[in-house]
Amino acid sequence: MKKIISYVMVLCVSITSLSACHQEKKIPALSVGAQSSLAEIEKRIYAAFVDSILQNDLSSLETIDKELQGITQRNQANLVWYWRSYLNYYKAIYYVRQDDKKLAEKSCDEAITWLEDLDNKTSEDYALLALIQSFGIQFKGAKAMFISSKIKKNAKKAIAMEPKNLRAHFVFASNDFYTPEKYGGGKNAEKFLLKAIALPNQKIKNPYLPSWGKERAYEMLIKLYIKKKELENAKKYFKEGIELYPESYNLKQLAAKLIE
Amino acid sequence: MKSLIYIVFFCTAICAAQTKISGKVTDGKWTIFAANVYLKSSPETGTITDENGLFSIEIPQENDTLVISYIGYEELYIPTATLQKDELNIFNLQLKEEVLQQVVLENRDPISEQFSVVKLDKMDIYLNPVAQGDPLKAITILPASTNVDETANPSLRGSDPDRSRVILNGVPVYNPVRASQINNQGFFSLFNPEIIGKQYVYASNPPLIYGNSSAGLVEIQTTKSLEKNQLKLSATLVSTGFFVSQQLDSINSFVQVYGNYQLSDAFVGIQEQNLPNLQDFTTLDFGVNLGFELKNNWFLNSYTYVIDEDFFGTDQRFTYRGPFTSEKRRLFTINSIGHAVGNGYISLSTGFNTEQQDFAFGNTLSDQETQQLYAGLNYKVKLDELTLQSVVSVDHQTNDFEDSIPTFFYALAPDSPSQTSQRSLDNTAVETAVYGSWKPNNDITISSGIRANIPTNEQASFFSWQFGARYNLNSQHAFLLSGGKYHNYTTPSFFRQRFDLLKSEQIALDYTFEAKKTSVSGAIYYKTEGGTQPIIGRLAIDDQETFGVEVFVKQQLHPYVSISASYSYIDQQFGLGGTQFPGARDADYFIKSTFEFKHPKWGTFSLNWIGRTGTNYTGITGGIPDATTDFFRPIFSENLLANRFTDYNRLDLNMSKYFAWDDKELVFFASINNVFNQKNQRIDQYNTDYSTRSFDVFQRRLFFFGMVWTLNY
Repeated sequence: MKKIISYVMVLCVSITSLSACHQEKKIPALSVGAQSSLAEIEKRIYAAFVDSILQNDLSSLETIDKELQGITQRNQANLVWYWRSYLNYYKAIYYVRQDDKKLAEKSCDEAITWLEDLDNKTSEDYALLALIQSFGIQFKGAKAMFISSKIKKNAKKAIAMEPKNLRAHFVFASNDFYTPEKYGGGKNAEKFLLKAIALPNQKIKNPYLPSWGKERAYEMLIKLYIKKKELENAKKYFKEGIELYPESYNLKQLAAKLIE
Repeated sequence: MKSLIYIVFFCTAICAAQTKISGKVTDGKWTIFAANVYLKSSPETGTITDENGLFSIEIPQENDTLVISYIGYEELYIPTATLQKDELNIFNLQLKEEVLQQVVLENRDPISEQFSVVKLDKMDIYLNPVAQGDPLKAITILPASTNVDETANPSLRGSDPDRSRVILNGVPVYNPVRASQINNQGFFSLFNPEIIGKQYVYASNPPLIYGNSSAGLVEIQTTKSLEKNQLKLSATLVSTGFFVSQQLDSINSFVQVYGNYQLSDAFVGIQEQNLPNLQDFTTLDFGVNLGFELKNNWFLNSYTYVIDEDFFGTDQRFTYRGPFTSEKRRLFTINSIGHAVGNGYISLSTGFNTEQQDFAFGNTLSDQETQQLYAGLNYKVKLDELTLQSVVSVDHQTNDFEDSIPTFFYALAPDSPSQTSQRSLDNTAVETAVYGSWKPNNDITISSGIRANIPTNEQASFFSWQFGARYNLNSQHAFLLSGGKYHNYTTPSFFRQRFDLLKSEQIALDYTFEAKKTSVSGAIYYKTEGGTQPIIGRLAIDDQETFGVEVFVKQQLHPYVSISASYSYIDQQFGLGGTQFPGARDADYFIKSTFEFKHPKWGTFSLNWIGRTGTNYTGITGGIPDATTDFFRPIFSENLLANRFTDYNRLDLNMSKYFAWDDKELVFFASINNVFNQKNQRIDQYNTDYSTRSFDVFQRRLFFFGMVWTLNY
C-alpha cells in the first residue's frame, strides 16, 4: 500500500504540469529592486527538475543548488533555506524515480532538519516542512505512524499562523488524501482543497516567495471527486482548473478519466 | 500638436509630483530580503527589498500610505508624509503573534540540550524494545544505565540512583518509581508516555541549571501541544485504564486525563510458583496534565498525579522470614508559568509533593510522611550566539518518621525486642545558578555553568561548576567533552534518616556516529564521589572512584530487522580505613543486546538480553546463639565485599501487533520476562544458625499480556 502511495505521490509531483505557472491577473506584481539569483526561483527549480528528469541527469538541479549554497555563504535568511529545502524536495523526487531511496531519504532528512532548525518559522516554512515530511514518510517504516501525526501538526500550525495560505491548506489536505481510510484519512481533504483553490497563490505577487500549490490542489480535488464517483463536481473543477492552468499536463491527463 | 503639449505637460507634472525615497527593512536585528513595499492606493506600483533589505520607491506628493509586508510579520503602514526624502528610512517589522508563540514554545527547550547524550520523544519510548512503554525504562537500554536492581529508578554510570535526579518541567521528582522498596517492584516509573514531550538524558555532568544531582540527570518536558484528540482504553493481565487527550481552543492548549487500576489476582494466579514473595497488590492512580496558551505569550502547564499503592508479600532479612505489608499514598503537582520578554523567556516552576508510607515486617514498623515544596525562577535570554540562563531555586523537604526499630538488628520476629523512634527532618536548599552556552557556528557549542548554595540552618556552603564542549565533526560524527564538580543531598529513607551532602568530580568524553543504518556511540569517563556515604551499615566510606568505558552499536540489517549491543566496563573502588574495596557497581562486563523484528503485517518481536557480572556483598561466616533474642548473632566476614553473586543473565521476549481501522487503533502486546527462568541472585539469606547460605533471586519467568484500544477523534 505504502509503495503504491509513494509511486502515486512521485508521479503526481514529477509530472505536474509541464506547463509554466499561470499568472493571476488580479494580483498586483511588484517590480524587483535589485536582481537576485533568487528571482523566480520556484519556477527555475521546477524547470531544472523537469530538465533533470528528461535528461536523466541531476546537473540542472545541482547547478541551482550550488547557487543557493553560494547565497547561504553570505545570506542566512530563512528564505534562502526555504528554497534550498524546496530544491532538496525535488531532488528527493528525482532520486525516487531513479530508484535510489537512500539518497531520496537523505535529501528529505536534510531539508527537514534545515526547516526544523529555522528560527521564527512562518506559515510557509511549516507548510513546506509538512510537505517534505509527507513525502519522506515512505522511507520511515514503523515510524510512519508517528510521523503522520507530526505532519498533521505542522500543517495545522501553518493554517493557524496564516489562515489564507493556500499551501498550508493544500498540505493538510494532501496528508489526509494519502492517509488510508483505515488510519483515519480521507475525511477532510475535500474541505481543505476547496479552501486551497479559493485562496490566491500570493497576496501580492512576489517572484522571490512561494506560489506553488493551487494547480496541485485542483488536480487532487478532481481525483478525489473521481474516486468518490462525483463526476459532476469533478468536471466542474476540471473546467475551472484547466482555465487557470491550460498547459497543465496532469490536469489534461485527468480529462481522459472524466470522459470515460 | 496641442494634444502632444498637453501630454508632455501632464507627464512633467506627474514627474515633478513624485519623490523617490529609499529605505531598509529589518526585523530589528537582521535585514529582510524579499519584503513587499507598495503604496496602499496603488499596490501594482510597488517594489521588493533586495538581499540587503534595501529598496527605493517613487511616492506621490499627495498623502498616501506606504505598506511593507513580509510573511510571518505584521504589515507596517507608514503615512508617506512622514518619510525622510534625503536619507535612508529604516523600517522594523514585528513578528506576527502566531510566529512569536512558536518562538516562545521553542524558547522553552532546555539551554543544555546539546549536552544530553540522548534525547527521546514519545515515539522513541514506544519503539524502544525494552521500555514496555515506560519513559524511564527506555533509558535502561543505554550503556550508561547501570541499574543492578531491576527498578526503573535511573542509575547512571555506576552511581547510586540517589545521586541522579529526574526533573519534570523544571521540578525534581524524588523517588520516581512505584513502591520501589519491595522485591521486584519499582519495575515501572510514575510517568505515562502519553504526557512526554521530550526526555533528555545526561549520563554524567548534569546541567547546573538544575541542582541536587552529583551523578546524572533525566529531564522530562511534558508535551507542549497535542497531535490529536484521543481516547485510549487499556486492559492487561494486571490492570485496566483510560487516557483522554483533548485539544482546547488553540493548538497549544489541551487537557490530558488518565487513570489506572491494578490488581494482582490474575497475574499471580497464573504464575504463583514464580512469585514466591508476592501475595497481593493493588494500585490506583490518576493524572491530569494541562497546557494553556494564554494571551500575550504566556504559557501555563500543570501536571498533577496521585497514586495509592498497597502491597502484601513475604520477605526474609537475616534469618527471619515473614509477611511484609506496605501502603503508600502520594500526590504531587508540578505547575509552571512562562512568558516571553524580548529575546528572553522567564518562567516560574513550582512543585509540591506529599506522601505517606507505612510498612510492617516482623518487629519493624514504619510510618513515614514526606512533604516537598519547590520553587524555581528562571530567566533565559538569547544574545546572538550566546544563550544565558539564570535560576534561583528553593527546595524544602520535611520527613517525619514514627518507627518501631529492632533492638537487635538480627532479631526481627514480631515478638523480638524493639524500640520506638520518632524523628523529624527538614532541609531547605536555597541555590542560585548561571549557565551560558556559546554557539559560534553549527559545529561547535561551548557551555559553562556555576551553582552555589545559600546555606540555611547548619548547612555547609558549596560551589559547583562545570564546563562542556560539543564538536560536530560533520553531520554524522560528534564529540562531547564535559566535566565539573557537583553536589546533592541524600533523600531520607527508613534505613537512612539523614540529609547528607554528597559531592562528585567528573570528566567524560562521549562520541556519537549516526548513519542511515548504523548508530555507534562510545564514552570514557572518570569520577570521584565523596560525602557521607554509609553504604555498609553505619560505616562511612571515603571517596569512591569510578572509571568506565562504554560502547554501543545499532545496525539495521534489513528493513524489518535490527540488532543492537552495548558493552560497559566499570572499575569502581572505594576506600574504607585506608583499604580499597570494589564498589557496588564494579563490573568487568555489563552487556545489553537486542534483536528486533518489525513486520508491518506480522507485528513486532524483540529479544533483549542483559548479562553482567554479579554484584559484591559481604558474607556472613557463622552465628553466635543469643539467649536474649532466641536468634543467632551473625558474624560478618572480615573481608568486606569479598563475595560476589553469580553472573546475571536475563532474556526477555516482547511481542506486539497493531491494527487500525477508521479512527480506531488496537494494539495487542505480550511479554515473557526472564524466558529461561534464570535464578539471578539478589541477596544472601541464611538458615537459623547461619551455617547454610542461600539466595533470594530477582524476577523469575513471568508472563504478561494486554491490549490498548484507541479512538482518534
